[in-house]
Amino acid sequence: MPTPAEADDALYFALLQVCDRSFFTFVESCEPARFAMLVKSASSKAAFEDVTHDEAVPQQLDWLKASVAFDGSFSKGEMEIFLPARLARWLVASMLGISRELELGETQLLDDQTFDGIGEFANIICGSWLTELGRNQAFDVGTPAVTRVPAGWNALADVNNKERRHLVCINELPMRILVRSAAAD
Amino acid sequence: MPENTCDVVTPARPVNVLIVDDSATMRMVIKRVIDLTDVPIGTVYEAANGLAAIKVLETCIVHAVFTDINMPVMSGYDLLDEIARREAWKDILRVVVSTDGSRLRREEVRELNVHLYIQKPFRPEAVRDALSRIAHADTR
Repeated sequence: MPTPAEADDALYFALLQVCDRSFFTFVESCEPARFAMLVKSASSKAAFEDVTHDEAVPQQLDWLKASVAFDGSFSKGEMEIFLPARLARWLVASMLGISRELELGETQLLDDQTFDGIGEFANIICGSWLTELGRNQAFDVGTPAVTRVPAGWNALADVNNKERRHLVCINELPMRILVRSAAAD
Repeated sequence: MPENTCDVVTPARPVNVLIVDDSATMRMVIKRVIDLTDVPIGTVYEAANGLAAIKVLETCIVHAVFTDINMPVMSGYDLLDEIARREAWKDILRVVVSTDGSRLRREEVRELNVHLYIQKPFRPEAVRDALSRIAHADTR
């Protein structure tokens, strides 16, 4: 059974590998103070340049949550990835090789594509993490579920002692990962 | 599972490929990677689960199947089991593309005559090398 520190290291390694190989980007670990700053700046006007919106509607950072259940030899539980929709669109476009077209406004990703792609992102990260935890471990990963996070959700909220929180950033945009797990039966 | 290090050889006939994954994004990624290879590709079919894949196999000529393992309705494992049972499908190249890199899973599918196991995230070269196996088979 890996220690919490070993599990954290394995998750970060899996993140690095997945972002490098499938999303052609670099992920950085993020201290809480920097994470808070990135959450704030991601909510600023500049962050909405690629989104058409009604000027009369107050801008609010649109977050998505991708969750995936896992059941392995060591542990079972759920991984939840919270990220701004803008980052989700960028990641999915990178995976599909169309990030340049997206930046130039030559193409748009539909919500369905973004949700499907970011669900796959969560699936690959969870699977890579569990593989990294133990090559001899057998595990199952459930079908990912992707939802919009309700307005007012606090990206900086603390977690309870049964959860492990990971704060990272990609392209100066924040991403929060929560792992809820218990020892397997 | 043997490591594939062979060079790409142009096969005599185009290769028809079936991609099985419940994520449309992943199917699109694999399709784009396949399009970048030197191997002449015929038709690329897609299916979102094992059951839909069997329907394609029953009606179309397919030379290679790239399948995920964890899928709703019918898993990739059950699909591979079905392919292994049918004499008419014995020559189909079988490639697993899965997030699950555990030894146990690799051993499970090895018993179902899987030629290659590609773990996600993968580099495009892994898919190219898998297709090159067909080219070698054709030129023997």
